[in-house]
Amino acid sequence: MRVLIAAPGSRGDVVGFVGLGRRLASAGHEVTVAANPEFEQTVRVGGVAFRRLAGDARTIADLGTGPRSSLRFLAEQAEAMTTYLCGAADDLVEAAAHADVLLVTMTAQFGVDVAEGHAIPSAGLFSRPVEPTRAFPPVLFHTARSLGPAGNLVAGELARLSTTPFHRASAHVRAVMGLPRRSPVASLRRLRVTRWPVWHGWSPHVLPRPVDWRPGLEVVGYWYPYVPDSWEPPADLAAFLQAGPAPVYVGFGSVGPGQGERLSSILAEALRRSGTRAVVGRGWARLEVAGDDVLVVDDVPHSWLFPRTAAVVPRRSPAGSPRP
Amino acid sequence: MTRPEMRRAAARLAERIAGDDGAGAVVAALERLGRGDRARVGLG
Repeated sequence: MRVLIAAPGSRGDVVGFVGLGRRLASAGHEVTVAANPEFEQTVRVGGVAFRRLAGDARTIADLGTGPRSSLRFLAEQAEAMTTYLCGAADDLVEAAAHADVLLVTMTAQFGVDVAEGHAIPSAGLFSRPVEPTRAFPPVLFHTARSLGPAGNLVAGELARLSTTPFHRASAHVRAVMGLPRRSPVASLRRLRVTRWPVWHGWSPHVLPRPVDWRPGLEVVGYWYPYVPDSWEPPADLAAFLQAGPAPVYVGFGSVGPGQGERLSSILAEALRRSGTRAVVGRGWARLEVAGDDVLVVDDVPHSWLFPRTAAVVPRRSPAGSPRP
Repeated sequence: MTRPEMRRAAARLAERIAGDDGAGAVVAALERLGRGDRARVGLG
């Protein structure tokens, strides 16, 4: 089958699906990963085909340092996200015309509508639990503090409906493909009634599947990035690791582009106070920290680096959290 | 919990995680779809 995986977003939104795509290809499928242009090489190195989805996720991650709760900030964020998603959606409409099945990631939920327009089956590949549950509050709330079973469920429903840019992107796709209009409430209801399948890519030993989830929602385990057997660490990294005790790894991934100076200053002070050796992931913030006990690196496979560290200090967002 | 206990618990968790096969679950579902069993796969 011709399998198309729609994976717009930052590096953490893409690399796990290259590993999954490779596994699907080894099972005999013709696999294409659709992502933003900067990940073309990452996808092709994994041995699967690449399709371009317009956009650069920095435009939705670089939103300044203003108060994050202000209405203006939220409006700007929603507008930037809508523009980004609609651009990717236009390219996905074209790419999916050549697919037998469409697998959509968290950031490509408009792919459900794309698949409907092409009359092909689709399923979700989600890295976070967005379906409401009594078991915990919605991840959008960025807190683990329970609101109680009923409160968690109601908050989860509200959170699911509040992701306006995703609904706008779906409406855009439906208009472009000549599909009848469908409200966000009706769209979510349809997913539930049809038991639209979603495979969730984390370990059930870390976060078990909520018992009140509907049929069709499965927690299956991590999808790991592909690392070529021939991969070798950069010479400066290998030398740094050998030169002293195991360092701490600090990385913010795609968080904070445009805030590198501020974040680097905070990090430098934290490392100075703790006296810790550290490997720092440069990331989209372009972190720069100088010192004999610090090495700044570009992308390094976590599966290789983390076992060589004393501890890992990752970003908070679970979408791109380091996988084991 | 002592540090050695934490290490042992972490090792046990890592072993369990290593037993997961996230990609295999997706491969199996698509294989069923390839056999025409669309309803059983549940693909929307």
